Amino acid sequence: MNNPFNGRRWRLSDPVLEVKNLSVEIATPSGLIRPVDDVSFTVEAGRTLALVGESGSGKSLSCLSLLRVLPQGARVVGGQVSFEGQNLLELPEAAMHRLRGRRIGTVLQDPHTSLDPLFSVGQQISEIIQYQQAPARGVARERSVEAMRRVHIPAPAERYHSYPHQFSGGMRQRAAIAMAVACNPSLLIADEPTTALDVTLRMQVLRLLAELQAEHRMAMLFVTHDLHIVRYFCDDVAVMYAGRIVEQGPVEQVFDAPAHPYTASLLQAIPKLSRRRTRLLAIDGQPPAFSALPSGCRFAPRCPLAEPRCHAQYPEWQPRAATLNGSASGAACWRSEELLDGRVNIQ
Amino acid sequence: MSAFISLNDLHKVYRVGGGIIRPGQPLHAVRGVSLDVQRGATYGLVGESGSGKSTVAKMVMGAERPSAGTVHIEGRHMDGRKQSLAWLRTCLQPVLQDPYGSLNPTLRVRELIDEPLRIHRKDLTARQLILQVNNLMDKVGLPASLALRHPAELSGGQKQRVAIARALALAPQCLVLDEPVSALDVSVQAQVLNLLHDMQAASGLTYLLISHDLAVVAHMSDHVGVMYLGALQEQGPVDAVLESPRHPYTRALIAAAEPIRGSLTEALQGEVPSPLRPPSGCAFHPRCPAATQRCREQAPLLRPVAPAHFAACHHA
Repeated sequence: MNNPFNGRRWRLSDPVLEVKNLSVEIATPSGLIRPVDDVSFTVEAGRTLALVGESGSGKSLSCLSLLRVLPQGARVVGGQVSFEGQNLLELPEAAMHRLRGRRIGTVLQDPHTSLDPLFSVGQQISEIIQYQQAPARGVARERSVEAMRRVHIPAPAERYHSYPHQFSGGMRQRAAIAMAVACNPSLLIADEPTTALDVTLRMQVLRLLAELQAEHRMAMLFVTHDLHIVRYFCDDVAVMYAGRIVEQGPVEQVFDAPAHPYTASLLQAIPKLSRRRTRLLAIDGQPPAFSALPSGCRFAPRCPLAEPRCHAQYPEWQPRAATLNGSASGAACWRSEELLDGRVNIQ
Repeated sequence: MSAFISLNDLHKVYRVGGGIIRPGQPLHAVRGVSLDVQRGATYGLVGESGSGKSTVAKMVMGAERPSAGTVHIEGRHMDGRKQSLAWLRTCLQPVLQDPYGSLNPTLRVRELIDEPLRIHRKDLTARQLILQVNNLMDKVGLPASLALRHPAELSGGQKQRVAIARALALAPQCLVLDEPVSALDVSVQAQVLNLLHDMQAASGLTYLLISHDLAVVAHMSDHVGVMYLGALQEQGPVDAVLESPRHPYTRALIAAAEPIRGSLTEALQGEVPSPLRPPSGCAFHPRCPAATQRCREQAPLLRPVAPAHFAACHHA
């Protein structure tokens, strides 16, 4: 299969997923809006890319457009998505159907919505194996018990016949993960997989995901709004604001020295255990509506460092020194260099 | 100095699954919670879902009657009678998690904020009402231009500000904040936490803060209480509890709140047991890395481990 970007065959050492200049538009009564605008990122085998941002920043919509399951009224209007060398946006629907669940697994926030209450958990895992791999009779069942064992559901053979309501919240999310990884996908898209869970369960699920990833060098696209989880769990991070990626890079680099004022402010806005009874650095105002985007940088109206040119012109991508694995890192900010070398700071 | 809120051995038992003939099974949602909230200070109650923290808040607000134990507010015994409830409303107001659910969608911002005044302060003239509302909106940082909007036209942060302005309308001395920022995005969460912080500094409000987020509780509170399966496992001054936690559950919560990359801090095994079938002995023993035979047999009592610092653990 030839890579749509460079025309050569996709190799195992190439990124599993490459997204370039992806844009999504939605028709609303008040006109067309573009909640995903010119988004580019790559995810490599065995690595986890975090897509972080606040609600409405376009992170979930980006994932849905990769899977081609956008809600009605929304459509991809530009860009390319290369998954293992195939352009997902041009694939026939039947081929796409065979990728979902087999090569690309999905875990969503709320396990209630991903499990059908009318079928036993085991049946639901079998179903996807049967559909994607069509093994001999009885084998699907064996494999689904195996999948349940891999996600540490105790006594999987007995729990095969349990219904979702008989599972606790943590077990339901494990079952949903078992469905997602049953066919050993090379890419797992996890959209806020731990948000609905209590903190102690959150840790268990993250550890499970790390374990599963290590088994098959699975690439993972991890959507979250929780910066603590990003720092703990992910390798690379792309920060989204108002439909655009404003900063991207390896987690340690971005967290230790953010190159975009939005990232810097977010990091200071989260309460920390060590900073007690003080004021937090709050970002004034709120994100712009997509129907009334500012003409320049979208963060400029809230940005403490904004200058006239920030309001006039959307900043060019300012790359940072290439990193070990060569991933694109940088920020869309006119003043990122000043921010990085300490000439200005966010206080 | 007497406490503003004083809870003494509070219990709440619900009956679940019962019918006309057979009474339901008892569900012990809160078992023996005692705590004091000092005037002008913040007491933070942290716990996971099902720990009973919101039930405690409801009993403090008078929305639930305790099955046993007492609630004293400013030294007055809250016995659930109409007079004591009416008095309670003027000195203590709730701010709840979901600003979407707690604001009537058919009312405008102005009406939402002056509603408590129209009920409790019938002496105010229309003009005074308007002034009061403007004042309150200003206090919580809502632009006056929003006064005639409906909740659906506001952002999450603005809605939570309306909820706070409404809670402040009767000039209460205390706010019960039940997950006040859980539904908000990080940048807006910081705005609301700062607002609460500034209001307390300016007018000496007392807060009872309920949250599942230890970082939020640590950030806001003077005193913290850690709840698990209906009971307090540890309580004390925030610095003591966070810097030298004595209960293994508190340690696990701290490790989970800010996990450190690469460090294999033990994730707790298992899940919170059903409150319908609580474990024998210490409620936490099935998940506790340090549990011994004694923990399985005998429930530990909350006992002092340092000045003003209490933990319910045999090994604390």
